Amino acid sequence: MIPQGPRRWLGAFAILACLFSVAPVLVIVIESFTSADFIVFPPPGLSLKWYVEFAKRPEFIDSAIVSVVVALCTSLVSTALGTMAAIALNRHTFIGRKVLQGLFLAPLSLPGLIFGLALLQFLAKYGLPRNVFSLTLAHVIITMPFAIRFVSVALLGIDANVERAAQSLGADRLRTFWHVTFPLIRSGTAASLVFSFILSFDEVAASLFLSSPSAMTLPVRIFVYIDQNYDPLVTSVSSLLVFTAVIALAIIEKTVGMGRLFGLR
Amino acid sequence: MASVELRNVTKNYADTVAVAGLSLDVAHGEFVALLGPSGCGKTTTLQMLAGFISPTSGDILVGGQSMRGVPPHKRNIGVVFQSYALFPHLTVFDNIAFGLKMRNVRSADVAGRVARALDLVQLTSLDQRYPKALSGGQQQRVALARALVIEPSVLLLDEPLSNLDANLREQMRFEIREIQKRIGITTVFVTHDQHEAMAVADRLVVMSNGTIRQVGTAQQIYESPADLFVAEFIGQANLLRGQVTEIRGAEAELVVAQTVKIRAPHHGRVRVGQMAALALRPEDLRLASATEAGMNNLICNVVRVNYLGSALNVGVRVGELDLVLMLPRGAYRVAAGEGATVYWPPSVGILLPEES
Repeated sequence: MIPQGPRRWLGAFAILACLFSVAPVLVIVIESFTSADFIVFPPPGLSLKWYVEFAKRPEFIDSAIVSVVVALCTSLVSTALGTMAAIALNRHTFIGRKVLQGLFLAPLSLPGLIFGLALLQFLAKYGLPRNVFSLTLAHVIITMPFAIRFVSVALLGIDANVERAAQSLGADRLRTFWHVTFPLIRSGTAASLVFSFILSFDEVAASLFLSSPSAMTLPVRIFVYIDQNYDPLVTSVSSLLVFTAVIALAIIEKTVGMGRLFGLR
Repeated sequence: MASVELRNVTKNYADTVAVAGLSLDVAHGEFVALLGPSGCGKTTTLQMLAGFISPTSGDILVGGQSMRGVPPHKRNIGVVFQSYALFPHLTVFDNIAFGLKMRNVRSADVAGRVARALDLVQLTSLDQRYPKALSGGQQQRVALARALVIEPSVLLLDEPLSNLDANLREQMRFEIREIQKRIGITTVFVTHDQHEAMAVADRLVVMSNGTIRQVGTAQQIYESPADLFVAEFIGQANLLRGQVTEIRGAEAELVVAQTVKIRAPHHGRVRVGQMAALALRPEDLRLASATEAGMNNLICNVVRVNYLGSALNVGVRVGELDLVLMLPRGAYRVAAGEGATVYWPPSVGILLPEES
């Protein structure tokens, strides 16, 4: 138990830390409702004109669709593959298990920029197009280490004898997974789905190399846009990114609960 | 219901031998306990029976059929784990019904069979609870019901009582025995607790280092252990080590503690000149104030006296050697620090050769 006085200070410190990390985002969100034609804080008046402007720009809408499609596909593929990899790594012993474990986690330590460049060269060498598929491929590789971690943590939390019991009761491997393992690691797969989605949706470095005029993710579109323009349109687009993430987190809180997602309960 | 046969079963891991050439027959309806210290290979043996791991060599037969290559879900073997291993996301009812659903039993029949299984383990009213709302003993009963409801040909119990407190453990011991007798199922029980093994099993299999040291009833193993390991592992044994100096018919003479000659029953297990040990149970020894004629006598100092109600547990020291005695209540009264004589008739004890 921490004494009353220091506890108050700790509380204040925590609030300040939160404010500090959220404040810039808040500024952007407030800015997006400006009535001015240029970026200035605080905004001289409020309006939705930059959201209307966003709706009028087909390239931003297209990019938003690309981002959502890529993030959804990434989330599903990464979680499916990550779950399979986690089961192989945690429930089976085989030659090369350690090596494979290292390889699966390697993308974590690779700078996105270098990884994007490498993948771009790979695509060019084999004459493959830069499109939604190549973007998804890159994002799956980037997010899979997280998927494996989330599912592994959930797997470590269940007694392996529970799976053995299911087998002795007549369930083959597939039915054991479906009726026993999967229900018990559900929070891990949920965490994997959500974070793969968010990571993919926010990814810039690798996407910068892999985006093409016909398939450009929203963060890359913003990046390209502010290179030439500096008006409040970027704030409304950025705010939409923030809203998406907030909605995603709100859905988790309502369904699984954030604490459970991280195994805190 | 079926018999179980292990034929020269060996399991090697990278550089260790977990089970080495184990052969064992378990008759139809028999209750056998695999007993041994941790790391003796008993759990590995059980896991090979269940099919969770496969033997490096040798064969396992259930009901006369080879289990080689048969996956666990096709073996029809019920397993109860030390950790209970109940499905935490399912109710008691669904836990027990799991095996029936995997066998595609009609849902109309499932309810009846689950109810009968719950009745067998006396948990009738708890079927809608989740495992975490049950006590350890109740969880273990559910695990037992879940394993039995599928009417397995063999029941495997892996240290099922080790996580329960002492009173409950004794009660569950007899319940398991009772249920096993009633349905007559072939059962293999793994434990490191000799009292548990002796209380429930028809036959005990004492194991160490992946091999069987002795197979027999509790009485056979306690009264005529096959070797010094078994003598020391089962019950408490005082070992008097020394050299065999003479053999006369059914009696051998042994020099212990450098100079003391004692007589011991000879069953052809030792030779003159050989190093041997006489294993004596604590209840075989008696205490007196002076030497007794016709008996083996050792002068000793009483180190401690513990009153246990039904008996007196006494520790004495003979030279460098500590002995434990279990004296009946009316026996010679001693106090710690006194001198006395330990005696026992030459006809008791088991003389076994020292293992090289």
